[in-house]
Amino acid sequence: MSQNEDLARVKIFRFDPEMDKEERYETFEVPYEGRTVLNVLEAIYSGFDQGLAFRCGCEGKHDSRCGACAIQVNGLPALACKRISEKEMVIEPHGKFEVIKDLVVDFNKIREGIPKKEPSVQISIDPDKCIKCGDCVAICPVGVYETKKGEIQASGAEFCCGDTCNQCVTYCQTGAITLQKLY
Amino acid sequence: MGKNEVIRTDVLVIGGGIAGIRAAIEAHDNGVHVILVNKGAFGRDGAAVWMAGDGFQAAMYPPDSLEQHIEDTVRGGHFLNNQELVKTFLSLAPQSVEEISKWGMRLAKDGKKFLQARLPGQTHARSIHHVHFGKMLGAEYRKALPRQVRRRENIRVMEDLLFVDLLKNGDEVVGAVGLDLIRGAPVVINAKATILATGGFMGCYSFTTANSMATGDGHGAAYRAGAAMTGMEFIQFMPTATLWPDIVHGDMFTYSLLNHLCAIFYNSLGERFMERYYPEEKDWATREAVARAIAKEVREGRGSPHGGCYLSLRHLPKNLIDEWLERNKDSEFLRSLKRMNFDLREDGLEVGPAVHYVQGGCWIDERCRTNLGRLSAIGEVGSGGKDGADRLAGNSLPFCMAMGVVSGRDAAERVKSDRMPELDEAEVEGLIKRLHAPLERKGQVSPQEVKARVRRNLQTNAVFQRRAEDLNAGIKEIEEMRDVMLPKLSTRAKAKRFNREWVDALEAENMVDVAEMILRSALMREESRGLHEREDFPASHPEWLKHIIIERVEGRMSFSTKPVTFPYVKPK
Repeated sequence: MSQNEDLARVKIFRFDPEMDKEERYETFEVPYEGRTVLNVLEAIYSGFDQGLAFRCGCEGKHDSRCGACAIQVNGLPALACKRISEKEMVIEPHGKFEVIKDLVVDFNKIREGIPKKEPSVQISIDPDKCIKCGDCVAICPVGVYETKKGEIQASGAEFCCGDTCNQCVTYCQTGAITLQKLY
Repeated sequence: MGKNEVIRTDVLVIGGGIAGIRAAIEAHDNGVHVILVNKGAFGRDGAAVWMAGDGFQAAMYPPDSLEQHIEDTVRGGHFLNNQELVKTFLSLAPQSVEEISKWGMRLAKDGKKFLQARLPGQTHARSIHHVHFGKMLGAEYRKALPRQVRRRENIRVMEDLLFVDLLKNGDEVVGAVGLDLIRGAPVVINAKATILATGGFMGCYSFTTANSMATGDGHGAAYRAGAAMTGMEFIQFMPTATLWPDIVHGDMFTYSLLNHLCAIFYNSLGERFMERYYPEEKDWATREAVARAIAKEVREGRGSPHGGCYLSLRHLPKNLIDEWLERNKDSEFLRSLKRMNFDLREDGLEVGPAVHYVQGGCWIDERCRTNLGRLSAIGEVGSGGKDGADRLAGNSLPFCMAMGVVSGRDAAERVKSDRMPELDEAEVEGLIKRLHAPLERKGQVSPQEVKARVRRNLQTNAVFQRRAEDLNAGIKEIEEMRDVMLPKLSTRAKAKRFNREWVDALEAENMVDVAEMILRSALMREESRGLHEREDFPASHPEWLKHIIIERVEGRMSFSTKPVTFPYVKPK
């Protein structure tokens, strides 16, 4: 079956720990051009599988990002509401947190034994500008930053949702933070 | 079915937004146990903790005064405000500012004094804003408030819990029933006092600057439990929010874009329609005027593909636009457009009026108590007519904070030496059965269908220039939906855990109640005042200086009125 040119092939992680013995992936074909990943998930939910579980909160409107829709697209963490859809996508739950069902994670439970991964975003904190206010620690929806011995560190950079989130950059009082996509 | 597990607490706060969080903190600090229930992930979902705008109004320093703040509010509200509520809540605004500042919200200051900007309707500059002018306060709330809750061990936060109905015993509210999304099981909470803080119902319309989760769960539940409701006809619209492209859907940025650049609006025929409505000012009439014109164009069949009109900058020189884009390059809106390769110099955005805030909710007194025993309502769902016919920009945040303080303290004082009221077991069983119905039914009507119908109904019939014929058609459709669609409402997804469709179904049923309250209230008020416009009754009438009150009588909506009183500000 040849693939329709207007449709994306979207492979989605499916797992309900209470029902399923193991995780599986299901593939859907949906329109994607000009749409966000959240739009695509909603299209799959309403058009194909009403059992698909995913979160959304603020839906990415305005400048602030609530972070509820944090996921992983093609291996890279992102907020679904601002991630632009591509023709081929593998959508998985955000790698830092325990899975509740499908793409829904428990933001209060960090997975144990996560293999260390190279970050896809380079996070720089300018030491001359950083006033150690801790706002970045508080605002990051996936807890990239932490305070260690009075210094702010981006210890969880591999979980950073980068440009799709950008809250640390937006709300840093002194503009000390820069995010750079590595790939 | 075995006996349901019942969770008990002194004070139950339903809704973890600004008002709910503040109430939980206040009740806790007055020595009682609190359960704070949240629909989604705590500190992430909800409206104000993300979209709270750029102003917190407070009369901090002379020559400004509480009296002036009250007067501005009542004038802005077209004299329909419940002035006792306005006074009680706004008197707490200055201390709320000090408090949120202490909790770590970054507010602009000049030395020890807060800087204040002047927003429309203010006699003195009164809006306190983010230290970076123009940045939204929402993120500051999200940063500062949840941690105040987490530090307090006697506040138990229950997330991913959809509140569905209040539990009654006689005339008293004795708790609530909800759906634990994660377990896919009902939750029964028994409380000595319940504070409803469920926010607004913007998600009952097709197009909103808020999120679609704001479905007015508390509004419907309160009405069904017998609470008196008011103000449902007064709904605030952001005149020109973005409809398309999708990545900036619902975004308010266009509201400020139009402050800086003079855009031209086109309908689907390519006509510069503003010239027709305003031959002099044309596209540069007020944004509200633009919004009304867009609504009319759409109604008359000349709307853009996504239901609004086109906003074009094409008439401006490219270098002028580039200059402006460069100066505003940090804006999330423009960055999103850039990622999409959307060229604002060439292509038109689609824009239109979007629901932004609602003023309807429970009737309350100065302690935020409703007419039902043990039930208070705060924030957007705690109306009492506090906003009158039109909310003054920047008043919502001080209202939320003040109502949190007042209700939290009141609830704690009331329940300290109180025994736990009993549940009515039969009622609990009945509500749990109702909760499971969409899952168990093998009907043919999907929740998405019901929601889409309600949203389209309100977006068509209850925006600007309302007319009796449209409102009656809307009411008729709601009645048909109740008779024909709701009895067949069922989910296709039957697995219980984290079942979005089950949530959709329960929200959809509730939305029908909310829509009916809006349509009937709008039909009843035969005048135009503030946010409520009637094409068939274009003038304001002094005899309509009264609040519409809705109560459930023998299962049906029953309407009465209550005159507005003027203890502090007399109408002109």
